[in-house]
Amino acid sequence: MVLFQISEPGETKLQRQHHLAVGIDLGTTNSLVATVRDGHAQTMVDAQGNHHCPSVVRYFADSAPVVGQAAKDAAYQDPLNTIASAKRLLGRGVADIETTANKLPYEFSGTDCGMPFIQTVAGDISPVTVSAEILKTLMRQAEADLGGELDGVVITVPAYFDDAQRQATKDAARLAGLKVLRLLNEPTAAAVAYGLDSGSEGVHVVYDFGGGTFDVSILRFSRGVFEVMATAGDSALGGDDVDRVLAEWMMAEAGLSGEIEHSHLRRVIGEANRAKEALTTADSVSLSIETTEGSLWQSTLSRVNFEALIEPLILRTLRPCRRALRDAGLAVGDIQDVVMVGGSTRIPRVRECVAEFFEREPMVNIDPDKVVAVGAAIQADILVGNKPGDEMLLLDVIPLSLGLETMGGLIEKLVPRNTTIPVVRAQEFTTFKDGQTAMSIHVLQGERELVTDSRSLARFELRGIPPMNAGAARIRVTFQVDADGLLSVSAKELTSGVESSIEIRPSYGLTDGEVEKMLADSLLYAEDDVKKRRLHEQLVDSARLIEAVEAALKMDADGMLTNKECVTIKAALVALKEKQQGEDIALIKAAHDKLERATSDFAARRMDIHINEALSGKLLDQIVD
Amino acid sequence: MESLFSKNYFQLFNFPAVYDIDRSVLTQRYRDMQGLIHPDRFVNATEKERRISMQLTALINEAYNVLKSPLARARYLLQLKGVDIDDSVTSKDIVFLTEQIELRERLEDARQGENAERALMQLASELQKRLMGLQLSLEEVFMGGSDEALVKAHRLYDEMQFISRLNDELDEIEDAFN
Repeated sequence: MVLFQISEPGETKLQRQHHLAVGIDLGTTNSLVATVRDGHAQTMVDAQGNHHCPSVVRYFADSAPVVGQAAKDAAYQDPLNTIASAKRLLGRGVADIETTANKLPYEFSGTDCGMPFIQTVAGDISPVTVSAEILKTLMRQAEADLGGELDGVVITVPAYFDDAQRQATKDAARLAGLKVLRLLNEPTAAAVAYGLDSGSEGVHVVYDFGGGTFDVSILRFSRGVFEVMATAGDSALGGDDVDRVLAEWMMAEAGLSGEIEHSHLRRVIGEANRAKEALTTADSVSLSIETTEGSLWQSTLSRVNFEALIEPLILRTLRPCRRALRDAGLAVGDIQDVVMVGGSTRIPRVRECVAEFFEREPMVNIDPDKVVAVGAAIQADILVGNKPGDEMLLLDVIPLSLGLETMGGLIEKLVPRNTTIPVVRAQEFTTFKDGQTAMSIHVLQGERELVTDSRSLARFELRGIPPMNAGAARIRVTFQVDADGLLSVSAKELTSGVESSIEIRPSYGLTDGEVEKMLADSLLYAEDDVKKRRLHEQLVDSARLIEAVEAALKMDADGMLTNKECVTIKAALVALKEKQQGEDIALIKAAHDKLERATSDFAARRMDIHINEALSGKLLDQIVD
Repeated sequence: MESLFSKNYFQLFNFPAVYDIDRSVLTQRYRDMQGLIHPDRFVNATEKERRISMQLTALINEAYNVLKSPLARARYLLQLKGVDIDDSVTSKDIVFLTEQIELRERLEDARQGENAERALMQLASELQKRLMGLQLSLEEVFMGGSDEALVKAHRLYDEMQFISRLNDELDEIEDAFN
């Protein structure tokens, strides 16, 4: 009951207590965790004093996986069991990654859920599990530093992540045992980090060229509200591609074929990465790689030649920039500043191209590798409730259009890209055959008009439509996208009321049941640990509910509740309090759910009435102004 | 007090049901409302409250989208006033039909011509002007409340819809150039 606690400060102790919250930048190459301490957002360091945790996990046959630098160091000697860049595989299908996969040095195995699993000595591992390991490492690091269990996290995702990729990220967090306050788009996070620093009103562009993805977002910041006007990008373009292009060039020069061993390929890519980084400051760099015969190929590469090699990749980032400007209805001249995010923006030629395109020097004051985590930490601090008076608000958009397959393999768009979320849209369809009793619904995401060019998110079937003449049934399909950008779809036949709904767990993801199962027999946790954590979560949740209900009763029981309703609620309240004394999670949960159900109508009534009142108050204020 | 979910879009934003509304007031009210109801304000609330916050925010977003768009606002206001808008019925206005054909031909010519990019930009700016003009006409026509005025408004809406669609197609063609 957040809204009404604001009007009655000091009523509750939970409200004033400082909650532990962090922001996590789950990157393709490196991941970071940040938190707000004494009003300042800063990245946290591990035991060795490092801010970055390489997003690399090494698996072993009979011991727990190793995450971070130690894993990265082993990439050459144990390439098949050392997973890097798992983010590129999140929410992707086997066919999706074929082009990427034959360049990634792993062995894949297909699965039922459409997601590629990676074959390791520890068994077949899903990219979701790999990401969960990284999240868990960061979580432990943060909890050790802050001295307690985290109350919530904000995890950043590339703005251009589609629904399956977002869902996979959230599943990874769930596997790691984290409470996700919000999935936040990376460029939006960066803007928050900059915006609060400079407090600048106006239109900002965030150019985010990371390890594996490219995003551009245009945001307007005005009176405490960040409004994303447009976003565009390429979820398969990043610094990894720069390394790859350079590695391919070296291999061609050295006469190496594509058919080299994984460990050898790793070393070549490693050399390419080293050269790229050196060329940020140096004018030329010397290169050396082994040939297949075991001799050494050596050469030098000038910055000019390097820039020529990667120019096509940089140009690919400018196309989304153009499109985002157009979607926002803006010209280059309207832009106040350009913020650079992501390691790849350290490349001098990238900065030059961006400066040319936007006709101004880009801003690089905040470390481009840390700015996303810092913004996420600021947002996490607000969402968890540590800054109750803060007016800052983020209004984000959906990056890619959502639609349904209609006849002839065409797509009917229900939610166009860059629509502000959350959004609910409905559309009516009808049957096209006499006596048709079922209708299959195919949900797609993307900008193209043909089904074959778009990304399939899910298929489901609405059955039990009463037989009618063609065109007589009225099927309403409703799309709902929440504040995390996640989609759920439901369908209903209006004349009969037959209903069917799914959460989009699609084409390339894990079902709820699969995540539950992975959680249950996961090696991620010791059994006790899981139990303790779940009990703690449940107790905190229930304490919050009890407190909210008591406050609500005190405020609104008279007038909004009948005697009977009041008695039911109070009984459920007492029952939950009783169960809270014990340690049986299932019993507490059942009592919790019962109280939620008992107060459901009451909550809806209160929300409606109080928001109505608050809005009238606001509107009156304006008239007085 | 009436439930928020049963209010029409104008009522939600505390506007009278008129076509000519102040964009900056609309935007300010939109932001104020978001500040109160957005799911970010309910992260720690109960499930029911989170769901209501989400649905209410979606409703406000939708209402804002409709009211801020001159085309969608015209359509919504016509429907509110009981005018039945059927997109499958084509206009019987011969002058307008002829013009539609002409504009389509111009779009094709521009697309296939030698100086396509320039010709398309020229056409785009003409369409923009046209849309501005239609918006002003609609403001005027909606002032009168008579049935006649509504018929006229409906016709202007049809015209605006056609020009807007053409404009969208132009955007898509430009996209292809990029």
